[in-house]
Amino acid sequence: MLLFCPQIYYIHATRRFILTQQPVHTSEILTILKELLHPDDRFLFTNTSEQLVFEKFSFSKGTIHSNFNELNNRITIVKKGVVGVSHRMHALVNWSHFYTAGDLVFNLEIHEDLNRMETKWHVLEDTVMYSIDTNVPDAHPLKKLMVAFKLQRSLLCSYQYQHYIKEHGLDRHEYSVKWIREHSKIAAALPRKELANFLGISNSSLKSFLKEALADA
Amino acid sequence: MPRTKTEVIASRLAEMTGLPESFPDFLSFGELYEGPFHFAPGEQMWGSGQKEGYVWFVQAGYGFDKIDLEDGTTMLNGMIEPGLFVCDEKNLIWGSLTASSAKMSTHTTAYRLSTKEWRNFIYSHAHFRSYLYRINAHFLQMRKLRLMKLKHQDKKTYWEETKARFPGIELYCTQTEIASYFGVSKSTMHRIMK
Repeated sequence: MLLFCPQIYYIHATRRFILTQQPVHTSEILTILKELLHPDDRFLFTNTSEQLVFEKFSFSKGTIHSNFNELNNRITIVKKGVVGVSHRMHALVNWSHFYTAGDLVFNLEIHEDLNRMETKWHVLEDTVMYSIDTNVPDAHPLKKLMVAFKLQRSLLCSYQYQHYIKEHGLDRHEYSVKWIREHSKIAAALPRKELANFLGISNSSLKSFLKEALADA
Repeated sequence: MPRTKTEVIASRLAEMTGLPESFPDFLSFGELYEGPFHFAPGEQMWGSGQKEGYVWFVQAGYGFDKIDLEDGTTMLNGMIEPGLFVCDEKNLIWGSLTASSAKMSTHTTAYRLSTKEWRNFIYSHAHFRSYLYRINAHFLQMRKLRLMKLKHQDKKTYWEETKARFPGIELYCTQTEIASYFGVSKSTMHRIMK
């Protein structure tokens, strides 16, 4: 099915998911994909981006997913919506991050055999994702590009957690206020206790940081 | 009989994957490595802001790597120990300047492969690539756990665990560096370490 763009083919994933008719911001998605690649590999994209086949996935608010086999071997980008990622450590379940529009999503974090921390995706808002299947035959003209995507995807999936670890090395006050300002909708949607745990601060600190963040909003 | 660089690296990969040491991709991967490079205690294996990046294999020696934070400070990231493949990930993924450093605390022997050659090898060896993905899947689970521990584990317990895993950490890292590993202030870390 050809949608909105004369050169890029979009296929709706009809199984399980509700279809919406959001316009496709092709250039935005292509920029994200290009930037995902190592600079030495970006030439692969320039010459072949017009042949990419996208599938559209829609997830309903309130659903929780503990496996995302549909997204295996894919590069997936959030077009709109919010998906929160939770993990269990001992008795505590908490958020590690939230995927929002423009983010690459890494379903490898919910690995079927290794998911001892019970990582789950919580769809906090109706969410639309675009996805490319990277499993192509060896003779496929985009094979090299897809191999490059798969490697980056694998490396980035663990690197994103390094990024969250690094964020915890930053000043909690400054970081928390900035995060609340930039993600005010998510902050408002979460119970206070969960938000405080996510930011790694006490409930009383959260109260004053929320005031500070909202005062300047 | 001393083992060659190639054998040492292939043997470690065999240990990590459960495949035989003679798996051809492991041998050809090991052959690409340069070295040995020797580091004395206090010497850096790599520094921050470097253009050239390498995937290092540590045969012997211990050290610590630190990552640069957005606010200009550094954070202790973890211990470098024998058998580890270690690199600056930002450089590996995007070819950007290194944003971490690694300083060895004991006499060290290591080998290195440029990130460009590493990438070329991965692209041209499909089997090796699939094993790399499996190793990375395990690594990812460790990172998830580290993040959750950093956020939620009782700091005293976490410190005891860390001391047991990295014996002598307090001899090689400053209290400020250790505090950054736990995401607490220096004074809180001082209390925890008492």
